[in-house]
Formats: sequence, C-alpha cells, structure tokens
Amino acid sequence: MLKPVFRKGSNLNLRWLRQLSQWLFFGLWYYTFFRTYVFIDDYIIHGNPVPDLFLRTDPLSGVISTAASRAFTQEILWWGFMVGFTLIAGRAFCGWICPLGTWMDIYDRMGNFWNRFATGNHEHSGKAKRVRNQINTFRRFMAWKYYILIAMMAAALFSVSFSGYLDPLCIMVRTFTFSVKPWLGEIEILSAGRNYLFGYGFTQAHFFNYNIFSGALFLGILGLSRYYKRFWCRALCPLGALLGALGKISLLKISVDPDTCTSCLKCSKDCKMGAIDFPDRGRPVANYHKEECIQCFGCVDVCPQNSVKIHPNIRFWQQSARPNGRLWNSSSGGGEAGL
Amino acid sequence: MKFSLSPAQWFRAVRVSGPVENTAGDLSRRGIIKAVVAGSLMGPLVKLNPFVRATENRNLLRPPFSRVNDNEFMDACIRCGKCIQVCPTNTLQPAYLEAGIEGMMTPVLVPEIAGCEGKCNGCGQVCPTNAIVSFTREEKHTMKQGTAKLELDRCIGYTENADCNACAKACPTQAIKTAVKDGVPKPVKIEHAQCTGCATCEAACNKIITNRSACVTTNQGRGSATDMAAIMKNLKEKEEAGKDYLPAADV
Repeated sequence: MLKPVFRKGSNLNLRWLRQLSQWLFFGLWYYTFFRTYVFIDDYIIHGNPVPDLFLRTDPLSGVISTAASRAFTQEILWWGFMVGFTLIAGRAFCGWICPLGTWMDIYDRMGNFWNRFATGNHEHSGKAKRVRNQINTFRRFMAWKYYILIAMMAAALFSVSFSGYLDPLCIMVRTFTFSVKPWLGEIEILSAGRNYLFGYGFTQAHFFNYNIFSGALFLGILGLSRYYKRFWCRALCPLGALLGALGKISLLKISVDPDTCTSCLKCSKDCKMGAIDFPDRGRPVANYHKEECIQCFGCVDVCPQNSVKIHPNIRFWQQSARPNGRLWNSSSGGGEAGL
Repeated sequence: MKFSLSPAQWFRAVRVSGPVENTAGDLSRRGIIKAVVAGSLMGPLVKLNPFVRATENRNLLRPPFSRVNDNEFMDACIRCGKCIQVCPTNTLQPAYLEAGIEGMMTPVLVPEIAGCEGKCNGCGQVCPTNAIVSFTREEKHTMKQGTAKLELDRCIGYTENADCNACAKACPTQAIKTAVKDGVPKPVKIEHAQCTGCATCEAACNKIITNRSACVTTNQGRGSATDMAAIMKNLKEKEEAGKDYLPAADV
C-alpha cells in the first residue's frame, strides 16, 4: 500500500525514513542523557515531569516491577502508550527507536566500511557479511529471549525483579554513566549546573562500580552482531521478546505479491532479524516470522520486483492476497502460547 | 595441522547445511516449563543467599526517600542507574553484594566518597519507577534515612584535644551538638530526631585515627520523621551566627 508513495530509487523511501527516525531518537536519547548533567536545575528545582521518556515508556520494566512489587510503581499511562504503539505497529520500537539497536546498526555499517576497505570489494560489503547471509535463517536460539522473559516473569511473581540487568534501555544508561562518562572528564558545561546549584565545585569521583562490566557488556552486545546482525535483538533481548509477543497480533503486516515474486531470496538475506525463512530454498515459499520482524522495511526496499507490500493485518485483506502458496506464511505454531 | 578454530570458523562450522524446519524458533513446552521453574527457583535462591541480606545490613544506606522496606525498594528498582547518574556528589554507587544477590546494581550511598547533598532532590526526580519517591527540596529533611553515631575513641578532638569539629560544621541540619571540654569545643552527641542519616559527617571527618571516620552512619530509624521544628530552629540560628557556628548541647 505504501509502496507507490515510497518508491525504490527515490530519496523518500522507507529505509531513509527509518534511518531518519533512528537518528532522531538516537539524538533524543543523548539529549536526555546529557541533559541530566547540563540542565540539572530542571530536575532539582523545577521537578521536570518528563526526565527520561525512554525509561518511562519501557513496558518491560513496567510489567516486571509492577508484578514484583504488586503495585503500579511506574505510571501505566507511560508504558501503556508503548504497549498500544506495539499493538499497532509491531516491534517497530526495536527498529525505529531503540538506541541500543541503533548502535548495533552503526556497528554493522562500520564493519561494512571496514570490510570494503580491507577487501577492496566495493560491490558487496566483504566476506563477513556474505558469511552472515548464508546463515541468516530462522534459528532455534531465537527462542532464548522468550525463555528469558518467561523466567523473569516467573521470578517477578516471587518478588525478584531481574528485568534491569538485561533491559536494553537500562544497559544504555548504565554503560554511558558508569563506563563512558568518567572518560569524558570534568567538562565545564557538564558540571556548571551542579556548581551553580550547590554553590561550590564538587570534585566528582570519576569512578563507578561495574564500570568495566558495563562497558564489556555493551561491547559484547555490539561484537555479537558481527556474526549475526543484531544477535542481541534476535536471541537475548527480553524487551524485544515482550514487544514481539505483543506485535504478533499487531496491525501492520508484510506480504508478497505472488505474481511478481521471483524468489531471489534477497529479502531473506537482507533481513536484520532473520525473520524471513525459506525452508525449501528452491521454492518461493517463505515463512514470515512476524514476532521477529522489527518493521525496518529493508525487504520492501531491497526487493527488485517491488513485490513486497505493507498492508494492515485485516482478515479480508489477507484472504484477497492469498490465492496460492507463493505467499509468505506467517509462522504458525504455539510461539506465544505460553505468554 | 590446525586444531583450534577462530570464532568465525567456528560459526561457519556449526551453521546448518540444510534447511531448518518451520518450527525451529517456536517455544517448546519443555523449554517453557524449564524457564518457569528456573525463574521460580531464582526467587528463593537469591533470598537465601550466603551474603548479608539487605534487610539485615545495618550499614546499608539507601538514597533519601527510597522505599522504607528494602524488599519493596529492590522490587520496584529496575537498576537503570539514572539516580547514580544524576547524583551530584557521586555518593550513590551500584551495589556489589552489600544488599545480597537480589540487590546487585541497586543504588547505595557510599560515605567513603561523599555525603548526600542537603539541597539536592535529583534521584527522586529521575527515578522512573518511584522506587525513590519524588520529593521536593523543602521536604528533604523531613524523613530519616538513617542515623549517625559518634565513635569518640577515634575523634581527634578527644585523642589530640584538637579543635576539629568538621562533622558539626558539615552537618546540614546541625544535629551534632558540641560542648567545650578542656578548653576546646568537641562533638559530644547527636540528636537522633534531627539527624537525617545523610552521611555528610562521615564523609567530612578527617579520618586520622585508624583511617576510619569517627561518625558512623547506619540505617537505624530509616523512614521515621524528623523533628522538623528543631531543624528549622537550628538553621535559623546558624544563619544568624554565621559560618563558624557550632551548635551547643543543652546540658
């Protein structure tokens, strides 16, 4: 449906739109992060009501801390907004908003540049990417994140909240607070508000517990995406598991026009999440794992036949678009039955 | 002959040669049961940890206006580190095992670094889950997070007869009372109803004797109200008297 508007080759395609959104929210995250240092008087004197939109709209921490403490500690309007957004747009948070996901995309792009530089291959992005492409199928380890989420929820019923250790937004804040900010040193603009408020210059201790651990966790998450694009999102992220379980019934859906598909498998190779799986590589029948799809619409842009379509997940629409077996099937089975 | 594989070679070696079946990533019933059992066991296991528990650790200091019950606090806390980021004195640190396994990465107040700044309410403002309840700067001193205790055998006012009184000058609520003994003013007692447990005295102490502070802050009395009228009276007296004011004990 959206395809005629965002045509291939035009500047206004969906990939461009997604990257714009990623950079905007990336900038918003860093603005929020450094705002905590620079405009500290906003918090301390004025009591700014929206200190961190990302953490307040985090449904994982909302669900887990609500279940663990048996009270709505986090305001449900905030994280309920993200739940509603996911019910409409699927796991779009991971592909369009999440700052850790943007970091992984940046790392991936940098790796591609490096491979081009090292191999001199300008047509493709180097050997490592080709290796990744060959194994970019739907794999068993992608279920780990659901098990992690289930274990977290079971622990939350026993009043133990483990969500923060693996929540990507918490990982971002912890990494850049404990590991990165101390390396920036005592920059004047970061400490001016503090000195202005409290009247004298603190010599802030540039040491935090867990500084090495947090940095190593962050680098490990980035490094894992060398072997599989967004390995963290595919296999481990509990927030992604929660959003994927919600996005399974979401409104947006992708399918293929069976008349024009030539089964070149480009969409499957380009997919960041391994959400498109061709069980039988000789035939154009693919399994579209909707709970894994982060709505990056890379398949829409990469399709040479313009046959990948985005359409609402409505019954009559699906029936009219499903004349034979050449369509992508949404993966059946009891994927989220336990949730 | 090579026996070891590089990570890239390993990943290449373990990749499936043929197609995976459609249900590869779907959850198995056995896996779900395992996850539920593991998560359920996690609760009792971390509560029965061999380390000191948060509710029993008297030296565990939490941020001001955090949930009074430490179990509630650790359930609501999501370990995002936002309070630790905003803390202007960096006295808030993520805990290692001071609060047990369950309390790892929850914020604790470390008096070795600094005390809790008396005019600051940043941690309460940024906490996304209200584990630290949002409070204003005016009501900062209305609730105790603990109580300081003088251990005078380490105080150089007594051992060296020195005119130090760093703790009494640093105390934001003037709860450390002094009296003149041997011609020199010395700290003699702490009014429990006026002490908020901010650990500023512990950080301000010179720590000359045995390199330990002569004021030790514990979380005794956490959550109870302070004598706000007396604190306001103290602050007014200090404002009138000037910088070198020392609150006198009414003996």
